[in-house]
Amino acid sequence: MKKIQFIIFVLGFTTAVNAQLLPGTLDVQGMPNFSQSFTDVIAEAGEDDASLGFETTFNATEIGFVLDPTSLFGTEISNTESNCSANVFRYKVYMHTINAPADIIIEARTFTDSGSALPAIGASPYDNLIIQPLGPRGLTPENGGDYISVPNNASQAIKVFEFIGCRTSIPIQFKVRPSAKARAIPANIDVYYTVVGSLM
Amino acid sequence: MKKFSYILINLILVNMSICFAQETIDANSVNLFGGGRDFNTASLQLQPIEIIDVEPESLTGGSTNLSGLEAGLPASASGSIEDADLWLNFTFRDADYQPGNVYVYSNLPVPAGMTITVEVISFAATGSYSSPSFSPKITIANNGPRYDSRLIYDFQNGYTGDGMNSGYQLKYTIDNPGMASLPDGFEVIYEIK
Repeated sequence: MKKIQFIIFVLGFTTAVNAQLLPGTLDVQGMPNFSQSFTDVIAEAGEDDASLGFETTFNATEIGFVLDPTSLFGTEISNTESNCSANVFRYKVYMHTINAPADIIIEARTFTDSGSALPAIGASPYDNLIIQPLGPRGLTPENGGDYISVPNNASQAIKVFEFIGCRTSIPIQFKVRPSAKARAIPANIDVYYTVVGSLM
Repeated sequence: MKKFSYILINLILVNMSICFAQETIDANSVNLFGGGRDFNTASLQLQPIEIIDVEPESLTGGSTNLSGLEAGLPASASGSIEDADLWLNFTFRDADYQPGNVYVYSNLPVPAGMTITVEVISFAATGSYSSPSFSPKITIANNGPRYDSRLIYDFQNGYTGDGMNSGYQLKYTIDNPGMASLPDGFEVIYEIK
């Protein structure tokens, strides 16, 4: 009996190792506007403005990641929804910025199970498995859903959340903490999203 | 056995620190097959800040230290009355990144024969900003924010820290040999810009 269990384990492991991630497309929507109002400014002389900070709307940006359709000789044989239904992977989302001005901290967050699973929960055979190898098709924010500082450095992109299976319309909320030392001139900041897929 | 316990505890601590660490990657060198990368551009606009106050908040004219007075001597026995328990705090972010200045002046003329001076006697760097410079002493007059009423000048964006023992400690000296009274509504104004 133990031998059979061992063989099943080895076979299962081999299957996992030989499984192949499928190509997908990351979609980023929205142009966040980090505009500080008069009420967002520190009111006590001597304190740093970064101790207050100001937030965007909860969905200043929405991102999604879905698997690409499968084509054979130029003919689509499986669409995005079918591929997402039959192939469930884990996706980790890392963020960083480029061109953020000095003395400004940009933080980001999302919320547990935010966005929409594709296909809807219950519509994929994966949802009906007694043991779901990657867990339910949900979204788990890092840091318990609290804000995470986004580094202005691609080599230190930080994980903000992860999700299982294809997902769309994931809202990203930002909080900006500008020090009084920061310049009060308009600036543009590129916010990067890097999605890394994995089988486990 | 003791050694083994120490090793085990260390291993657990290291493992815990790894668990609680924030996960990062080098986004430039990660394999993106099965994933992807994209970006959007955010616009940033900050408000300029120019706020200043003198601590303690509850300061009134009656709090002036009169310990320099002595019965039997002229009112300005030691030549002056002093108060050095005041701290100037400010937060400054200029709209066009020009250096900041703090001016001190009065809203009404100082009576003839009376001289009020204010000087910075110490600086506590509890905040963060650069290039603090200050005038040794300013004689207060009803002349508005002018070059000769600059108390602290040419500083960059930043903040001094809040409360007593933060920023600049000020000392007032009032020389009033003629026993003149200040006019009703007399105020000493600090202006930052």
